[in-house]
Amino acid sequence: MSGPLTTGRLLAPRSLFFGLCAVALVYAVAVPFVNQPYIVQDYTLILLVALTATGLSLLTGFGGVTSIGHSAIFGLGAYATAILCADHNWQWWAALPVSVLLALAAGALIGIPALRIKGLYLAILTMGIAVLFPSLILKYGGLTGGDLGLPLPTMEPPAWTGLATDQFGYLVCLVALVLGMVLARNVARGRTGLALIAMRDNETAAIAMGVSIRRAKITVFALSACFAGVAGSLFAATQGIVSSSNSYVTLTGSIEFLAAMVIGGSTTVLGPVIGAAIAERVPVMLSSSNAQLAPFIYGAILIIVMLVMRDGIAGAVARLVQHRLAKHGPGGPGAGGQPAPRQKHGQRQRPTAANTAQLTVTR
Amino acid sequence: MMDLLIQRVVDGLGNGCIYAALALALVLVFRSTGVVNFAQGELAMLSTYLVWILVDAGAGIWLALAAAVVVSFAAGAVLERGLIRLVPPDNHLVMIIVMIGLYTMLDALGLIVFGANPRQLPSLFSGGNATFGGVTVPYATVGALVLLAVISAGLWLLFGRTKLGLGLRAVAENTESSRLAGLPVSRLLACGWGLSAALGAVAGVLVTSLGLFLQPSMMLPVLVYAMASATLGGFDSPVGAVLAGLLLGVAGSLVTGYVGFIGPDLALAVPVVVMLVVMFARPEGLLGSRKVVRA
Amino acid sequence: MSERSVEHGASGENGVTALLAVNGLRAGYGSVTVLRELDFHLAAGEVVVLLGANGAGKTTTLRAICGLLPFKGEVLLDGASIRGKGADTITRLGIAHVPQGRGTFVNLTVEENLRVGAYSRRDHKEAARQRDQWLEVFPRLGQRLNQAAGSLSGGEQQMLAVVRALMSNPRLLLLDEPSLGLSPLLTQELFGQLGRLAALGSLSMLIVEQAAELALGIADRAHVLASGRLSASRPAAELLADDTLTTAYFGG
Repeated sequence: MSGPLTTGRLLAPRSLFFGLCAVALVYAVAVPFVNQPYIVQDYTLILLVALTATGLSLLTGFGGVTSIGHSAIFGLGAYATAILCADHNWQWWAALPVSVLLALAAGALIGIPALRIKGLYLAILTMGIAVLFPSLILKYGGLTGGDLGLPLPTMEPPAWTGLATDQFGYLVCLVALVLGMVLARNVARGRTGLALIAMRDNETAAIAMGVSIRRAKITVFALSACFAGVAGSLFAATQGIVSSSNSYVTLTGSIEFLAAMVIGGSTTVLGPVIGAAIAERVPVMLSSSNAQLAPFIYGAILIIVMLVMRDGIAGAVARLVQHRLAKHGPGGPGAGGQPAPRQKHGQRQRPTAANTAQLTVTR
Repeated sequence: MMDLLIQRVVDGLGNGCIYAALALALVLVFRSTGVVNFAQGELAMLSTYLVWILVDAGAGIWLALAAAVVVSFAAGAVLERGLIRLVPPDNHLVMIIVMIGLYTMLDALGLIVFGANPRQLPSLFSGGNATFGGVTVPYATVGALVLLAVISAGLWLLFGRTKLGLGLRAVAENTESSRLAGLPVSRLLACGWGLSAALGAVAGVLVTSLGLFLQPSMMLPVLVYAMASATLGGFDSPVGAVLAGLLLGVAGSLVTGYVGFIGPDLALAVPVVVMLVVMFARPEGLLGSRKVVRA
Repeated sequence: MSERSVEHGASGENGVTALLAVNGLRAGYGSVTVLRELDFHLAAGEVVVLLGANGAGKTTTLRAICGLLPFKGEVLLDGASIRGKGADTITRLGIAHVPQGRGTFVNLTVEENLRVGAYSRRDHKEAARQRDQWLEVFPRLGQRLNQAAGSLSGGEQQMLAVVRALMSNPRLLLLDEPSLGLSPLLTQELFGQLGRLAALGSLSMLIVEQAAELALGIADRAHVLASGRLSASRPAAELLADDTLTTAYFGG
């Protein structure tokens, strides 16, 4: 299936892509300085959802698994950090690696059965985990604070930065997101990613080339969980409280992470960010009229986007841009490569000249 | 001691009937269209609300159930024609997202139309218990088991002895060959979904008959158990679904009763662990076929 | 549209309406076009073999005709267009397709497979009579009626696939590589039986087959496909007799 960066080809010429990223970055950095703290907090949430969604897109595109359980890993990261900071007086930056390690372990654990069974079945398991997680939190309320929540100190900006709490928190999350996006891109184009593309497109050839599928798959699972773990940890450190009734650690949260990945599109780097922005803001905007109507419309959006634009908004825009460039770009009409064959129902991604060229490079 | 054990087993069997019914619904649509219906629970919930509306208007519970079954059948068929046929069976990302989107919509619909307040439905079965020695067997449990048996027998006859059943089996096995044989594939697929929705209605009313309140979130834990049942039984095995549903019902009852640190609060740990174990040890489940599940 | 199709329309060479008329057929998969401008006809009662190298478009042709593949151009059954109709409709109209790989319902019994074949029919008595008739032609199936079809050998499954297709009472039978996976002996037996079917007279057949000689042995005519077009059309006997022709056409 076409997935995040799986095709190994650029969907738009480099200059355009970097230009877009630069603009986005400038906008993003400006946010905490031109907005009220409560708005900055909202943006922070968008960053964290985008970070988780980026990890999810790695899992979906390369691992072949759609996870409805990332809220549990997010929650694992969040609670690990919260407990260490609240009860044991750790600093948030010391607790973060612990959250990451736990998340990595969880991800690798799920990766093991993934080698033997189809992604669809694993998805069912992840849903069970997502529904179970809040019960676990409630059960061990003494440790976790149950549904009343566990407060922890928010991350304090070092004095030399001169930043306010909300600004610092936002910027830390922004750094995490940018690093995450770079990492995701490198995985997609690096050994692991190409190994998995090779396996998807031609399994026998991949095995013949000595590609370690097993290692690649588990790596992707662990990495994807790592993104969620970081996001969860930073969530705890910036919000100052975690509780089992918080939607991000429930099935609803998992659905939102998936929605962010899907609406924005998992084939482009900026897709999860756009998707996160939409997933976070649209229900709130709709809530002003009728709180209950929001999830209904939300669900409808998911269905429509998935059936109409499989690679999400960013993906659709990117395809449009590439199409236009192919017609009018350097070299004249027709040159500059064909736009990717649109995924038809039931068609697997065909090895095009672009992505098979990448395969030979690995050798 | 022994009495308590038997008691717990009996209680578990009652729940097991619910899981079996919903798991059957899941397996039915999976076999015919290859779709895992994450929204099955919410559909059942809405069917149960329909029963409530009818009961509130004065109908007897069984009549209301019968009517809801018919309406659910129609709704399931319409859903298949309207939405499901647009879902590609081999792209599970699309399938999952669409079904999750449907789940979200239906969940919201339940809240919008009916509100969050729990309601009570009259039970399908008379209250009261039969006592054997130290064991209390609620008539409701017996009733649920009998109902499940009747439904299972009915489905067995349908699939094994009727032309429609043969058509459903053929379509579930090989859609292309079915088309080539002149079968009205679209109609048969719609029928499969209709049957599944009808089963969901029964599962929902069983939930309320066994003591739970009718509320929008009531089917989610049941769905998790049903998914685990389908996984344990084999996603393409109706017999497996029923057996596994009963097994899981009993297992759930025993574990939450005897294992202190799990208890009723962590009841969902049972299906999750079962799914984990099955996926590690024997992904095709007890009676399922390997090719369906293996990567 | 080319001049040829205006000329031919649905008429065969004598002006008699052909059972099947293919005009300007274009079909492919995704962005790959396989058939470019395919024209040919098939008269009622005729047995025609489609020959050509691998990739020439033989299977594509059959799949287009039976409704499994969308196409451009014209395909007329008794003068009426069947473009855009679903495979199940086309089967009910009288074209039955035995696909490559047979498409057996492996978990159904032999008897159930046959019942599925007759699913769309209302004349149950006649269907039962025909079934018994076919089972006489293929006795091995009759012995295994209650066995799961998946337990049959390759050759038996092929026969089952043919009879299942026949159960829909078709006027035109499309066969895609019926000898695939069969031993030479079984292939001979199969074509012997197909020949008997053909001799009964009421059934037309369009056969794609690599074991060309056997197929030509029961056929009236052969069409040769190359690069998605019809490159030659000869009486079968002529092709069989002429060795140079056979080596030229049986490439790939």
